[in-house]
Amino acid sequence: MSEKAWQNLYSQVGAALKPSPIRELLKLTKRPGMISFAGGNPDPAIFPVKEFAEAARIFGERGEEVLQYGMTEGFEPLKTFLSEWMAPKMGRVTQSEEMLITTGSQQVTDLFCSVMVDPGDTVIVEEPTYPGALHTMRNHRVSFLGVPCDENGMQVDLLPEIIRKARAEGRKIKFIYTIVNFQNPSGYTLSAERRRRLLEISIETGIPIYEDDPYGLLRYNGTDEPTIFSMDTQGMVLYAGSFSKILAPGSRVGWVVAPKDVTRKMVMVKQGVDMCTSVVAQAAVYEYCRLGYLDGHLPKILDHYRKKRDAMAEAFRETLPSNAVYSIPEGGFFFWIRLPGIDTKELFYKAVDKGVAFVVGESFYPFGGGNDTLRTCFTFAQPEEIGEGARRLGLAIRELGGK
Amino acid sequence: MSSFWEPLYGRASRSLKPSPIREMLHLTRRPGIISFAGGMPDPAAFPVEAFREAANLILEEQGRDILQYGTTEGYPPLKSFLSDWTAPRMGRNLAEDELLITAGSTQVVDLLSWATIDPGDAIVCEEATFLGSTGTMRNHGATFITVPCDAEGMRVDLLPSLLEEAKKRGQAVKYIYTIPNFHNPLGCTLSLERRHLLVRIAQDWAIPILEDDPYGYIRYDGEHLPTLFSLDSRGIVIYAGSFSKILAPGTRVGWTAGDREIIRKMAVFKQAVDVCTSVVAQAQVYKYCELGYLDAFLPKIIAHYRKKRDDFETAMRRFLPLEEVSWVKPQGGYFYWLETPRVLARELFDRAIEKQVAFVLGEPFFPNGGGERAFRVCFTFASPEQTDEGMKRLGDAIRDSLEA
Repeated sequence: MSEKAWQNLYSQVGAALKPSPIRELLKLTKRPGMISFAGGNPDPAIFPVKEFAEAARIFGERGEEVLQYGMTEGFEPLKTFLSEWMAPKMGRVTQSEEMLITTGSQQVTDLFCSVMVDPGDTVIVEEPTYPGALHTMRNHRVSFLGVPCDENGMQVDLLPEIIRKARAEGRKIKFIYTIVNFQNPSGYTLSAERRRRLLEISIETGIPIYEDDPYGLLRYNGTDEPTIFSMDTQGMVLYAGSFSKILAPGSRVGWVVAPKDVTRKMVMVKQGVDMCTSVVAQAAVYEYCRLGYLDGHLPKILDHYRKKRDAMAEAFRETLPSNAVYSIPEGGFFFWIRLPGIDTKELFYKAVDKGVAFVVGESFYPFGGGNDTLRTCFTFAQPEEIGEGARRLGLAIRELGGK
Repeated sequence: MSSFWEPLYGRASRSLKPSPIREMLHLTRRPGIISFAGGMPDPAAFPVEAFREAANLILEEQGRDILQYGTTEGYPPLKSFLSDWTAPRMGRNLAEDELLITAGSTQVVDLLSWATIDPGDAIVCEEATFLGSTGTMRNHGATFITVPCDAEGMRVDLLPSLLEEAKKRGQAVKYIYTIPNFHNPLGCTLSLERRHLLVRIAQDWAIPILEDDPYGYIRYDGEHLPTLFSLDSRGIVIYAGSFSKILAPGTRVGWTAGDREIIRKMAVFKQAVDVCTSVVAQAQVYKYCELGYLDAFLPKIIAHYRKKRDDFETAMRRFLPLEEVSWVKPQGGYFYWLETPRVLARELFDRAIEKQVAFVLGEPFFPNGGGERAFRVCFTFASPEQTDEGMKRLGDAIRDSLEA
């Protein structure tokens, strides 16, 4: 059928849908010789391949069970493991009815929006924030309210006024989306004080919090802040976790913990979305954890990425012009750099010419902006590439007048 | 606590209902119950050892690649395998950009619905159809135009007038959903003649067909009929296939094939819903296929279920009151559809549960109502002894219902 024939059939969302600009730019980064600081991928060199292969023995031992359709709620042994393993972070052992295993944490955003959002409803997000979440929310026809961030994460103090004004305009605010630890893209971590304040505001205004925490277990220095979930006694917080960064993203196994009623609704939506998350993937992840490899391997991952972060920090100190503004993230995957007076989209093409790629900061803003910012990922590039990539980036910046 | 949440839920989630089948499965797991309810494969037919071998091998060979994020479109080796393997039924090889790997075929319905349905839009489907699919479509705001069926499947001849009426009402029809082979729940198969006619009507009206074909490879007798996809040269048919019935549903790996334009659109939606299907699961499925196990096991699975169907047929003839129940013997798939003109299935269900045998009511399969005197039984899951005993109980329950 012709493209035009299809156009007549698309839904409003379908017709408006465009491939993400990041994905388009990422195509340029696939050229040979390119050093990529762009994608947010883990380093395959640190994947526990042997241990995961060993865990596949569960297919022999429990094959009839794990090859069958699974419960939509998730593979029960994995849920039990997670509720115990996460208890120190969650403040308690969560109950089975509060937890749902998902196809990565991306699915949490989709399911949660299906439960909460009518077209035109408002969601509060950080500026900047993870574009994958914006994409999903846009499909649900969310309208956004942005809250600026600083070194300590979302500027929570601005929230009450933002909420008051929006409500005066008749906007229906459904939830506050925050990536609390080593935020993508900024690398910022929400301070303990702001976490408490955010929860207070949430309770005062009756607006729930979606605490997205894919990087929380990847802290390289400093001490962990408590999860907002653990501070909450009112059932205001939905917490999303993932195995993507602590084991392997190819498993596509994540989870969400929320009040039972919300979880039950997400389960019903999930029945119509994919029935259940791949049981073979869940079972292999479970067996890997049960054999003790999650705990055994995590320190190696931390050590590996800490070194890479340090290498990138060192390289940037040497090669970036002195007016480049950035801080060294205490965890996660990313450096966030501001280059006053430089248009990073223009810089992108220059950098790609020199053989280094990053993600243009604008992609992370729901309403545009951030034109002088960019994100680099330090986990994927090989150690010898990090120095050379930084050097190329420094050159490109100087050619655009950076000092 | 939920008082905070209650006013915040979206409209759609207020009308969310749990899938009646899934809910019933809880009931039918009670000890002592013989279940003909769920549409699940027999775990005894799972190639456990072969899958374990494949899983291990691929992790050793390709571990670093398959533990990484994958492309949304699917694991390339699996796609190229599928393109070759399905070619005889698809009529040709599929190009890479005509194929998208999904989280089971449920996700195909979700993605296509994302791409096409605005609230109030209509989907055409068989008068009784897989309620998982209609549930997904309903979550996207779909309404339904239902087409009566007989032993040869959808009454395609009635379609043009139904489409005319929708047009007069000003209702947009977004796609035609059909399960052409061994229909769930009706068990019927769309005849060759009707396949040709359906494709022609779809082309004339420029309304795509979603050909949902999870059972197509599980044929016990008779010849395979050509897929709708293979009868179409204009890109009007979107085909959905699945490994759930030919390997194992726990993998959650399915696929969809269709016009590049719509496949690309569905892939962009897939980015937003789960980034990609579990690469680990896709790669394990691929290795299983590549080692030749798919072809080696399929005849065994077919033989296994053919025998079960025949046992079922024998038991039904022996234990059911034949003057009160009618059915068409399915040539493949998982299901018998039983019609009981003088018995309400809802009443029968209560009696059957008392006697410790379960089935699925007909009604939930009818998106626009109907099916009060019909129900579905699945023949793949119960053992031969359970089948005999279950049919005896079901026969008693029907007789009791008649006397009451």
